[in-house]
Amino acid sequence: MDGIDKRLADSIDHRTGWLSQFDQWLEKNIKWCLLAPALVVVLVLGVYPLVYALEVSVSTFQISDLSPGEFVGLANYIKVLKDWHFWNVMRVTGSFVLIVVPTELLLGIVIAAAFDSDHPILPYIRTFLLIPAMIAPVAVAILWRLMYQSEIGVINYILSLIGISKVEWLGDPDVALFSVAIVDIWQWTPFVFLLVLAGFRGLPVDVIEAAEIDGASYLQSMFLVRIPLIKNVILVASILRFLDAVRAYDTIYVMTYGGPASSTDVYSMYTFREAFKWFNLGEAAALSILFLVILSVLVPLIFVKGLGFRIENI
Amino acid sequence: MRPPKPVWSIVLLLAITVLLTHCGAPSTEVAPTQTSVPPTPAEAKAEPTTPPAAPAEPTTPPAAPTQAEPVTLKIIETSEAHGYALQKLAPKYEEMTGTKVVVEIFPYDATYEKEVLMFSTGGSDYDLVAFDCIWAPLFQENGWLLDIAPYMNDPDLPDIKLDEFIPGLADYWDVVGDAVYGIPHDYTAVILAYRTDLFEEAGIPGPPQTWEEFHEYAKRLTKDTDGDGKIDQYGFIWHGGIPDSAYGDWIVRVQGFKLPEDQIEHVLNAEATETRFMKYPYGVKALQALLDSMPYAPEGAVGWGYGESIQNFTQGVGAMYLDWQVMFSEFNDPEKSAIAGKVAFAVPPTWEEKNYVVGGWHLAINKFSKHPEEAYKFLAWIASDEGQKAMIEAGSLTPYKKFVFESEEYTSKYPVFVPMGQIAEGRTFGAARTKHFVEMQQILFEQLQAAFTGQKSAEEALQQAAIEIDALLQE
Repeated sequence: MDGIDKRLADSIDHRTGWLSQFDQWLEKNIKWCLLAPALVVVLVLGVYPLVYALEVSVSTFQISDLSPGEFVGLANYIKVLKDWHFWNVMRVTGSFVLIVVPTELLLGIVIAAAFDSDHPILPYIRTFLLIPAMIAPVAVAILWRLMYQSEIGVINYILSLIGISKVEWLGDPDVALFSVAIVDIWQWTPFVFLLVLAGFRGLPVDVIEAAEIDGASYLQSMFLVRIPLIKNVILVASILRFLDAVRAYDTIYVMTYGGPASSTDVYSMYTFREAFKWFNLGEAAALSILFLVILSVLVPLIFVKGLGFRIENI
Repeated sequence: MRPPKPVWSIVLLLAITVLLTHCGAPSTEVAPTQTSVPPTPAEAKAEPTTPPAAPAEPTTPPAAPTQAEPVTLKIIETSEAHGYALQKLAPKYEEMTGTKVVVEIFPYDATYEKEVLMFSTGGSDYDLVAFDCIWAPLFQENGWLLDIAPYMNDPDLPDIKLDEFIPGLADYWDVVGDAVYGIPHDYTAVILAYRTDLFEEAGIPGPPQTWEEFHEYAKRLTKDTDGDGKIDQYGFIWHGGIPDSAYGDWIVRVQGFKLPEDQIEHVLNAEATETRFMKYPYGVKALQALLDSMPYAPEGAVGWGYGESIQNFTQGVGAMYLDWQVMFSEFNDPEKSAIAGKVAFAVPPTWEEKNYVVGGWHLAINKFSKHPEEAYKFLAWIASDEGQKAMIEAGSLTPYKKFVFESEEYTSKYPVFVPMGQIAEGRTFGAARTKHFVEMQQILFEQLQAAFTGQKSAEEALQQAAIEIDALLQE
């Protein structure tokens, strides 16, 4: 039987020799084969547009026929850097990020800590808390714009009932950015809450119980045990919110259009105007590349150097 | 037993991946709003956008194509009354002529983007394009619109009489030398809406004729009506929150000044190479007048767009309101307005001369259209008296032909037509005629808002705007 099996196996190997070679090649290069479709997508949708944007950013773009035009070197970059709008949007975007990201993280952690319990009512309340994150940003912006109306809006009406004089939520340049930030915080804190809650729920129970047995109070357990254990979750949430906040556009566009007096004019709005309202595509491309460079420097600085985030801990 | 090799499962996985990517992603195109005339599947499929060979400028219209298939004209419009009116009239036109018309409607910004992108790629997706008059210089200078003068001169085709339109529309925006690049099909002017009941209560005999009167009336009409120490009735409503509205509130005050001899309009010189509103005093005076009146308007109006100002006026917050008359359709509608029946309309105040700012949307033929003659016939119908009447009946209450304002039938039925007709008899101006208008308006918006919020004086704000716009015009 063994002899017959061996002769049979040898004859099969002989007839399917090319398959055997292919099989060996595949086993050696399996990772590239599996990565190939994703790599193609990244090349086509990511790398090519980036290279094209680089080309456009160093040329004069002709709107009449959408051709790159002549090479102008760094002229578009210099023009952008000399424009007061660039520094204004950098300041406004930076301020917006500094307001919304830490606030959302803090609120998200606090709410997640409150919901980290097995009380039967909590899942139902949790569902309601997630509703803001499920609404389209434009709808949220329209809703809040109506509520913020100074004369007939509900927020000023409620404030008037408790004796507070009306606030020009979207008409006062000193207040408008905070007003827009409140909307972002209202909408995206649930997202942070969800991530952090998942982190808390995934913690090993024995570690927490051990801390309690050792006499740790609730706050000590929270700050010295639980939060350090979900540090990576918090850092992932902060990176995601950071990247979303620097690209904020639709909410601000609907609520304030960048005003009043450019006090809510963020980077994406400025870039969009240059690209699609005025078709200054060379300058818009230069703005996009500059933005990429700035983020490429900032993200490692803040999240790796600053907060000690390690790539291998993802 | 040896475990099965993963070869075929991996090959199968790759094959599935290739098949899925080959099927392609769904289109992310924003679906246009179409209500009365849904396209057939053939029409819904986008036309190819490969740039055609550069066509020679026709001196005579091309011969009518012999086509067995009925022609379908596609029109791109915006979400305003004239767009919806064209949609409603499409079946009527098809019934009359056999030419099918499909009207696709988009929001304002999307209309602009789609048109520019279509023209830039030499696309013929749409045969006829509706555009805001301020876009006309850009479209014309890039050679994107078909010159219809040869068609107008063709005795076998219907005529379009340009002198039958409201002055300041076709003559200012569509006629360039001997060429004619389109027709107006929407006429808007800045009109004053005012509360007759509040005027009567305050003993004011009628609408203000001058800006000085406007300021005085606004002051008198600003009051605390319920005795709680807070102002709840304002003299006027305005809106500084978006470029178009901020510019509009300034320019309506600029236009009332006498135009200097060497000027054709108040903002730019005749060649559109430099600004004029700082070389003459009217720019700063107009802005200062608005700033001086701001205490008699809601403080938040600096951030309002059209929506907020309409809402506040219809809720009775203000006694006067200046805006494009197309915004006034709800004021006397009892279902939408708390002040229905209490609003009258008048021409805006002035300083020295009866100059008025007018604007509106125009309709033109895409230079790359495959059906230019059929498109011209549609234009000619819209430009005719019959077409104008049809547009009004279809709900576009922004008539563009003079006879409407001379007709008792229309002016008695639509009171807002009275001041519109008076404006048409005055000296009318379009906005500054430059392909950089959209960018220029943004620059003015930013500086005007700096003045509105007290960050700059009127002079500083306009000086900075002039510097930036002059640099832009020199590019």
